[in-house]
Amino acid sequence: MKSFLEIFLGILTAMGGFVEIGELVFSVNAGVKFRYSLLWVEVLGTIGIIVFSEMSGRISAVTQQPVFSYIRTRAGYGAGLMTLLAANSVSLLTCTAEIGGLALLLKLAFGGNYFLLAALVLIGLLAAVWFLSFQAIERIFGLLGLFLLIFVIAALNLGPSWGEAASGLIPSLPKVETTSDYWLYGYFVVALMSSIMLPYEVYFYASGAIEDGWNATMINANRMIILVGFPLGSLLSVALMFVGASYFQPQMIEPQLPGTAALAAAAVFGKWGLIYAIAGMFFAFGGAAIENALTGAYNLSQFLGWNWGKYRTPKDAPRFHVTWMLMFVVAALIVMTGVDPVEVVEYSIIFAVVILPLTYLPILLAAADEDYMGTFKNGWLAKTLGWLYFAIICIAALAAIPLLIITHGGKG
Amino acid sequence: MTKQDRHFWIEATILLLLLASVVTALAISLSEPLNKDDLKIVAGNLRSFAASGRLLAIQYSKGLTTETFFRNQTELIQEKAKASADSLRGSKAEPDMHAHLSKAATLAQEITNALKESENTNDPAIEAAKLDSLTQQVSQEEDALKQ
Repeated sequence: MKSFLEIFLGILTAMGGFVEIGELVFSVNAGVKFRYSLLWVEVLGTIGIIVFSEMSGRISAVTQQPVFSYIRTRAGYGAGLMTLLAANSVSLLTCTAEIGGLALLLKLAFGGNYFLLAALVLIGLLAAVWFLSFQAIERIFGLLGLFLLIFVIAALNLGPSWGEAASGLIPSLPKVETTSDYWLYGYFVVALMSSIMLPYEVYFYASGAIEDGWNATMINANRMIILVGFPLGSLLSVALMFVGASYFQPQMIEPQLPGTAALAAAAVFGKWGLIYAIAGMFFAFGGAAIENALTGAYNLSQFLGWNWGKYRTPKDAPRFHVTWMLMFVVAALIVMTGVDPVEVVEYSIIFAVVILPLTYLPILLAAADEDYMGTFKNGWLAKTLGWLYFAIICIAALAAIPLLIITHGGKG
Repeated sequence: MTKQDRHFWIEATILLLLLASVVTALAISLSEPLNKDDLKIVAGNLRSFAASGRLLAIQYSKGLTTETFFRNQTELIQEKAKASADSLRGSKAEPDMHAHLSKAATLAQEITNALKESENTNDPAIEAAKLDSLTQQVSQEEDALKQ
């Protein structure tokens, strides 16, 4: 009964923690610009994140070794350092965007000065990670992120075009007004894929498995949580795409602020819908900010061989604890410069694609390594899907920067 | 040099080249006069700001949003519209795009003003009508730039 409850809570947490500010912005705007024709990318990306999260969770459960210590051993110091710098830069940018997004949401809920609210968010996040246990952080932010389910109900109420949505599951070029829109479509394919498969998600998942004390007996639970939780989580981003297509496109709105997206929930459920949407976004962005700050600290500590883990006291792992605090502080300082958090996340998502192969190749190699994994090494299905996805993300990585330039940063 | 060292330098060079190409492209695009594509993007943004402001005002007038949300979200959209208006004022356009630049700059200022009024209004329905008219105007301009 206890393990069933663990799995159930794990599924809900995975579901509630699936969406962050980047995914919110890209999913709604994908719906506005291309209606349902990018739905297949949601499916493709979700299977991709399932494949690699399952591998990284399995590696942690079997070896109790963090991913970055394997990367350093396998790839060597130089290549490992490059991966570390790239991964932590993207985590820092993503954390920046989430903190900016949180300050915007507080402003919408209570009013006040954006920069003061960003400082308040910083204090709140530092306090949350300092005082709460790893499990409490996972549960509180993951479960309260489920307020975002309001978008699923809103999407259903707004009358989506089911036939068009079904066609969107098959990759095909959409009907567009100009040829430059095809490049924009390509940009959205890459960006949406990246927003679902952001590197921090697998690093955090793998380190979290060690924080939770997983061992080889947890392998089936790991699969269950991922196979059920992630597809349910992706339903949230599918719902956001539906909302973009059925509500915002006819109104000629391309939401560039989280608050604009919340208007769809208000349209269906009034003030309570709005409050649920803002609360859901608040906990989803807060969870993502914490995950990115912790991921930065996990990666650095694991790479340099420091003591790490939220379960360790600051006295036992001082450099780990200082690193996550610094991640928050630097991210908040970037917010204080006045950068637009949504623009930051757009760029961080595109740069994340570029480093996806650096992230996923070591996981793929480790999970297939018999010396490392023993009988729990990749089977034929994981191996086939792993290499297939590695090829896909390599193509996406090569296409990302040219598409960013051609489409003027995804603007058209 | 070991194989691992070589890999490190190859990866470092590729990442630096990618970064340099983005920075160069950005620098070139900032220094060049606005062309049809740039103005189309600006018009699209302005249309979205005006339409968002209109929807907000309508929802607020129907009691679907809180007052704090309405005023602060309108303020955030207004800041974005103002940034566009400021940027257009200081921009140059390609010779055949002068009329479009001038039109976009005028519309950007009108949308900024309308959003500012909406932020402080007690009658959101009137502001919604103004923003609706501006949405249509900027949308026509966007269509003209698409041809």
